[in-house]
Amino acid sequence: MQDIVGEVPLTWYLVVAAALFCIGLYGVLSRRNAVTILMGVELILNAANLNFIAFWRHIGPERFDGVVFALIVMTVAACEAAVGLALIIAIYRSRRSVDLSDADLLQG
Amino acid sequence: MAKVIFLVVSTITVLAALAVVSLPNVFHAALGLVLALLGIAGLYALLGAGYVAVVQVLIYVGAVSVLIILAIMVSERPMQQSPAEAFLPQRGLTALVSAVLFVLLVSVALSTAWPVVAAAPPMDMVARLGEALVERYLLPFEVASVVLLISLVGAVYIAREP
Repeated sequence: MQDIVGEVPLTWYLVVAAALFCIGLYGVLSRRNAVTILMGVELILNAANLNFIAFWRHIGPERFDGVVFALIVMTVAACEAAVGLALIIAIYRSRRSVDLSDADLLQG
Repeated sequence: MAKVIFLVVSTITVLAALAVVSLPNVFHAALGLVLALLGIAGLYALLGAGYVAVVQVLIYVGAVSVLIILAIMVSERPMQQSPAEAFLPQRGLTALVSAVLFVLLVSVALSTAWPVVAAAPPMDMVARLGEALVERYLLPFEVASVVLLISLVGAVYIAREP
């Protein structure tokens, strides 16, 4: 396993993670449906996690801080997805719409 | 050989991510997200972090994706929406900004001399990771448990029947 990992340079992983981040950012900023926006946020979090693991493997594989950081990010992302989806369900119950452009009660 | 596998898996992942953000049908977008998360798990396995790949499949594909599809089913919008209903009007400008950001990130990543080490993770990585989680990284581990508990109680309370 170790010798095939070294064949792919670190920068390739960074480019893929940057692409996923920018695609997720586009998804967050351009969609109406609240669930789709949350899917974009999950893409952004996964891009950051990919960066963590790629750097861990190529720069400090004998330590574990990269892996632990990625695991904690995964945990917090799952929590945030659960709470966000509960909020979406509650919003849908009270106004029968998940279009976030309609949820503008607090807008100035 | 590893480069071929990497190119195939990363192409699938990026195409699935593009499907997530550009398909008007929200259920199709959720399926694209599942494929993208599976692709990222494959990239973790290719990096030698097999444990993280399995955790990714369990948590993201197994739990978060199911939650997302549940929320899509509960909020019964008509799933076949026109692009005007599914996207905000400024999405062209957003795509331009995202492309500019991508170019910036890639230029930074390619022009930095990363201190790459040609080492390998320890053979008993999972055992040592377990030890590290309860010795050196005990505080983040416990705080993550508290965050999980709070979000569990909070999500149940927020989504309860009024």
